[in-house]
Amino acid sequence: MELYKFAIPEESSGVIIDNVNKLRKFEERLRKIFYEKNYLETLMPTFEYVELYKSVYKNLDESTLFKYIDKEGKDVALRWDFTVPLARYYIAQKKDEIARYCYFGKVYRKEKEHKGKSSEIYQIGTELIGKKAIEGDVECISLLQKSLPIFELRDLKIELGSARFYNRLCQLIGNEKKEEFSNLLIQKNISGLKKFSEKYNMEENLKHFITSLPRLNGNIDVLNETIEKLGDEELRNSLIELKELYETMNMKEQDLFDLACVPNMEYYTGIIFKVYSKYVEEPIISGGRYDKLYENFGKDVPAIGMAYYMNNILKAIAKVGEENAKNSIN
Amino acid sequence: MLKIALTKGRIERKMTETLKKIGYNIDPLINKDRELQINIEDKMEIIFAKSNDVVTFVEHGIVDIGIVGSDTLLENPFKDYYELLDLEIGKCSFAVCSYPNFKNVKFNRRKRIATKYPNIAKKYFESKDEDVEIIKLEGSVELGPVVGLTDAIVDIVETGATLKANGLEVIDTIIEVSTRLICNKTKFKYKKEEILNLIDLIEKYKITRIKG
Repeated sequence: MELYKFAIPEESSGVIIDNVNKLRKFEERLRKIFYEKNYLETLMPTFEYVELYKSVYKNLDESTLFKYIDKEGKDVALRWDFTVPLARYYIAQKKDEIARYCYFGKVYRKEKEHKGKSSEIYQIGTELIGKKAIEGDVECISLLQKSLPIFELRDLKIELGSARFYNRLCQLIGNEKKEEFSNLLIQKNISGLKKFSEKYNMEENLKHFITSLPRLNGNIDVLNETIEKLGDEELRNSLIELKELYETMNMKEQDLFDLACVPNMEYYTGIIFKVYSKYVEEPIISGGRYDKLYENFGKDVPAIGMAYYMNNILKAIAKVGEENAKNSIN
Repeated sequence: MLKIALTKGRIERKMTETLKKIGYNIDPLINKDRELQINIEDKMEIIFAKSNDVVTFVEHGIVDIGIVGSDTLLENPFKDYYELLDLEIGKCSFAVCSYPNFKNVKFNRRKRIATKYPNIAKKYFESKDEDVEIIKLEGSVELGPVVGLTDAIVDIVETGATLKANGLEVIDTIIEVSTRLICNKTKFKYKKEEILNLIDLIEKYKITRIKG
């Protein structure tokens, strides 16, 4: 019996002959941009202790890790992300200066069966360590803006959210209700937020504002209107911060703000951003400021980073190709 | 044009009614034969699918919006969508059901539970500090206790007629279930106006329905 000679495990990403040259081309161009801005290329280990990830991601879904028990009886996982190993690397250098790192490689995250998703995710990313907001944010976003044209994708939208805004919201609502609130907010659950605010008998203004949050996902007009209406100073200031960034960065009319943005990693503290293409169902790039991550390694260091999801970028490009082919036939 | 995946059967019928009430011409939906895709007034492109497939189509961005029961959403591992609205139709509940004397019986072994929803069943018994053996059935789950394969079932209860006809009853209600409108996250960024427009219409109708 010679079964499983041609089939590959479901976890594998397919063989991508067509896309390899594109992937390498993007890699090369990104590398050039990163090198010009003094980002040092790193090559992180493929295997990491599960403990490392668990100590940082308190809510880590362990079923997404590829893990085994090593000869010392410790749980070891295939690299699940780059940000945490790079944070450890920086701290181990025992320097206080600003560091700029970039990386090119795969992360391994188990996907559910037969869902048409691969568990090998090719990521390219940068970390800017030791530079505070707003200076650091500006550097990171301008690097992002500089890199976007190389993909030749139209209709890209950069979306900005604020962990500072979210944290203040949780404070106003009461931190003991944070989890319930966040679960509804992350889903933009209009009906759920309405019921939530009624259940806890919130005062009319707050009730109205909370229920309107899912709708506050749009261009600069949405941000301006909200800033005008807001009474709470901290909420206002966190949005003014976003507005200033938008103006400093000369961002575009189509770019978005998401006021219902919930930080998906506990360590995010400032701006959170994502880049969307209408051709793929997931963001093609995401990033944010995470000044609290380094606390896990016993040091207070500000940092901001971003990751390009190359699988999604290649998918978008393939879709554009298909569309163009279709149009040229018609 | 909004692309919508609609769960076939009961939810499809209730949603058709809602679409009519908020002013859409639903004749193509009523007159449909075996087509899997129907257009409405050049505003909506509706496909009909089984509940879990609705979630898969939303996940892959094949459609912008899915109309699906919260029972399916609870059981399905995919969570990365916006659950914009509770349509408050297709209401029913998840319940543990068995013969009336189930509560009084002392089991000296793991209870056996038949269900189509193993994740929900497991979570529920875990929350009661109980460990049970779950047997997944695809069809009439009530057969579990009836033929003696299992001690009880975890299933959706709407009217309870099937239960009653087989001598079973609700032992404990787990959670209320209703139909939800879910949305692919990226699609929301590109079609927000259209999507919110539909939501406003439904919300307005929901209010008049409550008042009426």
